[in-house]
Amino acid sequence: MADIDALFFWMTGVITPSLWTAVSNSVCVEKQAAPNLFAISGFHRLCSDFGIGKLSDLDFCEAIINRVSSGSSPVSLRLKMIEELSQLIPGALEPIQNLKSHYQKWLVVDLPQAWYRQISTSLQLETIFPMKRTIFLTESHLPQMIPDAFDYLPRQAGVDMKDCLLLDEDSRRSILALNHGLPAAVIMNAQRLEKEFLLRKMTTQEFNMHLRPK
Amino acid sequence: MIMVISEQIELFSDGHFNVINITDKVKEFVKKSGLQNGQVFVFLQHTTGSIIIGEHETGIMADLSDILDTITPPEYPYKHHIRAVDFNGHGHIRAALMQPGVNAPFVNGKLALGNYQDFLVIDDQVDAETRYVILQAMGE
Repeated sequence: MADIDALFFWMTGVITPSLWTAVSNSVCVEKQAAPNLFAISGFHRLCSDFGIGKLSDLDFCEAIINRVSSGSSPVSLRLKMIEELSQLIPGALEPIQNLKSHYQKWLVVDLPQAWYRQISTSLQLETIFPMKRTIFLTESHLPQMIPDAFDYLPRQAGVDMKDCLLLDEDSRRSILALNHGLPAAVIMNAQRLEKEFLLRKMTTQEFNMHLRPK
Repeated sequence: MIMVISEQIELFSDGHFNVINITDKVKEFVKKSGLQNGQVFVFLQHTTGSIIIGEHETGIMADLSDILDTITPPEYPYKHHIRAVDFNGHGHIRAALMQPGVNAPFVNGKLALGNYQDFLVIDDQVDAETRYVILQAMGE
């Protein structure tokens, strides 16, 4: 296993609720039931296009509204989503703060910078991820999210792909990243993030042998 | 007195080896049941998916996906496709090779899972579908 230099935290899903959760909860308030977003034609494509900036935030919101037949307006959906995304996943920041200092910590943002500013202010993310360590995929001009982002992230950090680790809540994306050559770990909650770092001996905390996988 | 409590949960999935971690939902169900000691049965009500207890680690999931692709490739002339109703033969075979349900004990009101054990639903349907899982706690 290569030594890891750079860590990429996919913000939506690892630090804040996932984009899927934010959309689902935002639409759910109005529809009073969670819609099966996966059943919506082209939902993944919509999210990808939004995430790499091909689709503006209002166009994205309008497309969601049209597909779930919601009576909401794009502006109010945008507001609701920012609100949803401004909630910190409980305990998500502590394991990152406990990382050994030599790791480059990068935040990967698949949201417009204007959204991020509001979220970051509310969650004080810049104390951990300064702007120079924040990668806006929405400003990347990538033709497609996958697999292009897997090449783009190490390039932005100036680090060889094999020396990176992507922390992502999206199980499928993490598998695709790994298959592409970008080491990745699926992180479903803060406890898993802490365990991942402890197992890899990346943290200043003492490794507890009970945590060894058997 | 032994009691049985059941609940159905719904999951949104787009299939194609979609791995859904439902551990938190099962934990919450056991807590809500109020039962202290017994077993919880987690059962997927579909024939193109499975439930495993395993480590939700990217490499393991990638390996499992690779192995399933090798022994049950999605592109294969499955006889199930002859009737031309659906084309998810690999999903059915995978479901048969794995299992639709798993049991786990709970002790003093808490699931007795190992450090890296998670309940993982693996959905191999070929379309986006709502998936249903029955959670059934039996105990006292």
